[in-house]
Amino acid sequence: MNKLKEYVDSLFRKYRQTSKIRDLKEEVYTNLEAKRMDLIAAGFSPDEAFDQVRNSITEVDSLIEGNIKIDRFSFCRERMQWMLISLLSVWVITIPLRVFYSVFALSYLLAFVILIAGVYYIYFLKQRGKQCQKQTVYVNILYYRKVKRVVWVLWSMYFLFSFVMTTCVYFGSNLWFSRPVHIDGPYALGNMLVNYFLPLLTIVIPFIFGLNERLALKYEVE
Amino acid sequence: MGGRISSDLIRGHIDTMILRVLYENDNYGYEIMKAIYRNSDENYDLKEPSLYTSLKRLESQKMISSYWGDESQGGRRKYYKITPLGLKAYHSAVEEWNIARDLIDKLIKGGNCNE
Repeated sequence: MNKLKEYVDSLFRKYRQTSKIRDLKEEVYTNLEAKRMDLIAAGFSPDEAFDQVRNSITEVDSLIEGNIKIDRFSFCRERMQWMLISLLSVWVITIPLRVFYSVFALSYLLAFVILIAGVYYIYFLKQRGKQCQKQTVYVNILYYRKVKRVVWVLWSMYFLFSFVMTTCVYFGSNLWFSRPVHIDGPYALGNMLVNYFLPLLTIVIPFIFGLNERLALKYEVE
Repeated sequence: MGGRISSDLIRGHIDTMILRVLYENDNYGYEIMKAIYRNSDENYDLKEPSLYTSLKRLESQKMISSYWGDESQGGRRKYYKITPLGLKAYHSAVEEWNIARDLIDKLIKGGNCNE
C-alpha cells in the first residue's frame, strides 16, 4: 500500500466503512493522486509533492453525510440540565409512593444519584466549562437518529414485557384456574397499580436519547 | 492586479464557478480545481474542502450528477456532469451576478467617478 493511500485511510479511520464512505474515500484518493502526479511532473520531488498533497486536506469530518459541527459546551450543558430535570421529576413522583415497599428503596437511591449528578454538573460548569467554552466538535445527526429509534424500540419491548409479567404474577392463577379476582384492599390495589406503572417512569431514558438530535441541531455552528 | 482575493467575496460563487467548468465538459474533482485555477489566471486556488462541500451540495440539489470513470492508476475517478437543472441555475446565476455587479459598482464607487 502506498503512502498516500495510507494517509487517506487515516483520515477516514473513525468512520464505519459503508459504501458511501468507501466511494468518498476513493474519490478523495484519486483526486489527490492526480494532484501528486501533476506536482511531480512540474518538478517537485516525491516527498515535497506528498507533503503538499497531504496539507491540502487535513480532515474529512465536514464531508460526511449527516455530520454537523456543534458548540460542544452548550450542547453538553443543556443535555445535562435535561437529565437532571428528568431524574428530579421521577424522584418527585416516587416521594408519595414511598408507602409502597417496592418504591421505598428506589426513591432513596434516586435521591443519591441526583445528588451525585448535581455535584458533577456544578463541577462541569466550573472546570470543563472553562476549557471548552469555544470548542466545537462534529457529531452525526443520522447516527443519533438511529440510536434514538433503537432505544425507543428496546424501551417499548421492556415496558410490554414488564406489563405482561406483572399481569401473570397477579392474575396468572385466576386465569389458569378460572377463579374470580380477589384484591385484599386499597393498599393491595395501590401496590398492584404501582407494579404496573412504575416501569413507565423509565420513559426518561429514551427521552434523553432523543434529546441528542434536537440539541445538536439547536447548537449547530457555522 | 493579482493580489489577494477576498475569500468572503468569492465564497458565495463557488457553486457557479463549478457549474461553469462542467458547462464545458464532464470532469473530475482535481481537474475542476485546475480549471478554476486556470480560469482565474492563476489568482484563485479553490481548496479541497470547499470543492467537496460544493460538489456534495450541487449533487443533492440535482444540479450535477456523477458517474465513475474507468480504472486509472490506483483507482476510479468520479466524474461530474451538469444536469438541465444545473444549466438553468448557471444561467440565472450569471444574470443575477450582472445585476449585482452593476448595482454594487454604483453603490461603492459612487456617481460618475469610475475609478
